[in-house]
Amino acid sequence: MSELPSTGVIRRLHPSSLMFEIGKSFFSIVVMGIVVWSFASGRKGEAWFMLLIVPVVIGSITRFATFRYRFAADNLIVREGWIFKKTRHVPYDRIQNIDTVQGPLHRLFGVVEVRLETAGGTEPEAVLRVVSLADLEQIRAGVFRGRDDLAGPALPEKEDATLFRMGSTDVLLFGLFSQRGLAYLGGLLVLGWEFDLWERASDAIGKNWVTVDILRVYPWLFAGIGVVLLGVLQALTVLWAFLTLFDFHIVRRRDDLRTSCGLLTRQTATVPQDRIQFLSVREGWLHRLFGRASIKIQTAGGDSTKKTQVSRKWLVPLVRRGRLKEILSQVQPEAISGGLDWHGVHRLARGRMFRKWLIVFTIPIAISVRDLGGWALLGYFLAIPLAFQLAALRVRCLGWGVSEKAVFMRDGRIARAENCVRFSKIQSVSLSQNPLDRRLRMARLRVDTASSDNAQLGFVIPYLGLDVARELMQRLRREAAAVEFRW
Amino acid sequence: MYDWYTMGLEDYQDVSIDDLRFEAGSDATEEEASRSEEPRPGVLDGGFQPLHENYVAASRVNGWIGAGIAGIGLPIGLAILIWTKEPGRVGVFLLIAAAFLLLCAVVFLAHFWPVFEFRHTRWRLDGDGLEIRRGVVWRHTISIPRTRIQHTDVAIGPIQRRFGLATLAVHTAGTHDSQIDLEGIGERTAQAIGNYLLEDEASSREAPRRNRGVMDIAGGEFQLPPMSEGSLGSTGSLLIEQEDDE
Repeated sequence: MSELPSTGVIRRLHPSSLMFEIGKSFFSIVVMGIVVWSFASGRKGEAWFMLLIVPVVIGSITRFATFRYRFAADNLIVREGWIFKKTRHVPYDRIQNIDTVQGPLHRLFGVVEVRLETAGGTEPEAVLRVVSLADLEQIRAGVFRGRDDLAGPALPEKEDATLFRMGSTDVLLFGLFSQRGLAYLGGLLVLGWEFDLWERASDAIGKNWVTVDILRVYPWLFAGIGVVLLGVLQALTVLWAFLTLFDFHIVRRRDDLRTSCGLLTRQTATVPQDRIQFLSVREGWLHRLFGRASIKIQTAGGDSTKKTQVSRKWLVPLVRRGRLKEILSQVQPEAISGGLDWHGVHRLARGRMFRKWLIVFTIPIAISVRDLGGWALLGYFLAIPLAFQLAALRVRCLGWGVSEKAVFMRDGRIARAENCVRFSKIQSVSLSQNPLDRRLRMARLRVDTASSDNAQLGFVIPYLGLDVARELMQRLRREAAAVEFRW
Repeated sequence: MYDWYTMGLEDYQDVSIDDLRFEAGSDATEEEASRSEEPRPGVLDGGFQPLHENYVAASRVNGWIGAGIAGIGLPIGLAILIWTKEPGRVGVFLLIAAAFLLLCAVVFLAHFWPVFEFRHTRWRLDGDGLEIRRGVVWRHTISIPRTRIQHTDVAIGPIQRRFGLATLAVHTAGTHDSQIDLEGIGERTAQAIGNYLLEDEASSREAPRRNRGVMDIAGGEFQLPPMSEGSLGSTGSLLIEQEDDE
């Protein structure tokens, strides 16, 4: 650990900050300029907008010149502004995570962009753009020392231990599983369709009879081109995975988990272990095929959906199933579901899901009756087994369990998720029943947490028997009330 | 004064806030203050409580205001429609009939829906926290552990004030249900529950944190104004109060 920052010293950003600030505004101005230019093309004086850069540069300079931060006894004080001065106090014990981003240019100067997040809002509480690496260590030391001081007796010093290091096979698989390339291709197709690119392309091909002829004579050539394209796409995806997840590892220092990764742009995230609000073990169908799983965590600060930070989205992007337990035992032992007594959902749930899917499938069948007549009803020969299978798969997976310190649920069909919320992180528990639920005496239970991204990673158990749900709710309520919430 | 609002409501159970006893020093009346020696409120036994008996009346006033607006707006809209589109005699008749039915439905709902709501809303308070049940068609139960409550608000609207009602808002750190409203309980009940939830939370809290650091930097270059409650966030003043308690 580097030497502790003296509390009195007032710090400034790294001198190169000015360059990055201006560079960033310059970039946005240029982007804006291109947009303006493309709309106003053919007219004179479109370069005038470049004058907009002047106030922006002045703004950057003042921001840099007035920005100060300093470590007080128990909070970080950030002050900026020239005419309107803004002073912000960020208590150390409220800092949920410290994120850093270090791009190639940052690296050249040995600096890093730091974001400190507390639980409030989606924006980082303080963004230090940029500070030197030595200062970063001091910020970390300051924040963690401040927190330890507050926590009372100093915790026993633990050695830095690498909990997890992602192998290159896993990075490769991660790239393949994510299918980012296909997603981009889809986006590109839609974009091309939007701007009539395909029509233009086919027009061009139509005029050039040779191309058409070749494709007609050698259809496999066309298929070959497709395959090659797909291969290139996969290669790009894997490349992307290697660029972002290069040397992904988690280090544990005291009770903080530090993840870092990236080849060109290095990202790190520091999450206090106790601040994990929500933990989810996920397996897509490809994951299951290869015996892999990934771990997602949610903290209270920031909005992980917006950010491209891979290091924050995933605690462990991909790991062999067998190692899951070992990692969890280090990160959050409460989240190990082995030996847990899993309970299923209501016995009528399967029938209900089956009927739901049948209704869903009836819509396309009803539509095709117009074209196919009575033959469309044959579609039910496909729809009924499919609906049954969909319902059966989900019922087999759906379940919940309660351990001594946490509540678990799992959901999914072929892709699965197993979620865990510790009692100490439960904010409220609610039950809801729609009319159908009421008729079948079922209920849906929701556990609300302070995690920033509940829409995507919610803790909702549907199709519970009403009595079971009520009992579970009372139990969770009692357990949650018994422990103090400490963010 | 507003007796005519409560016409037809005599059948409802007496659900006044008499069960809730107030501590001396609150806005309790003399009679209630004299009973303050008695043990803690009956509501804390954990039994489910209905809303305040005036809820139906107040809710009806709200509904009638809505129905009144519909009653004015609908004929105007109808007149414009008939004037511009000139439907046949049958069309006019159908339109008027539809509008009349719609108005009847609005009035009916304005009058009877609050009764259903009243019947299906219950709340309870016990050592663990607050639980609220509501919903006529879509039922909803939410339970907030006492230790998770960040703060509580009591809001009283103009109509609620006439009926001595209030809305208690309980805030948690959760994302999906960060604010839970309990609408239509007695004004003082709301006040009392809010205070109870917070006061118990404060006393069971961990040891107060140290001074928030505003004072110890006052001598630094930052030159912050001398500390006053106004210049601090609410956390600051709260913490300083806690320290005084020590």
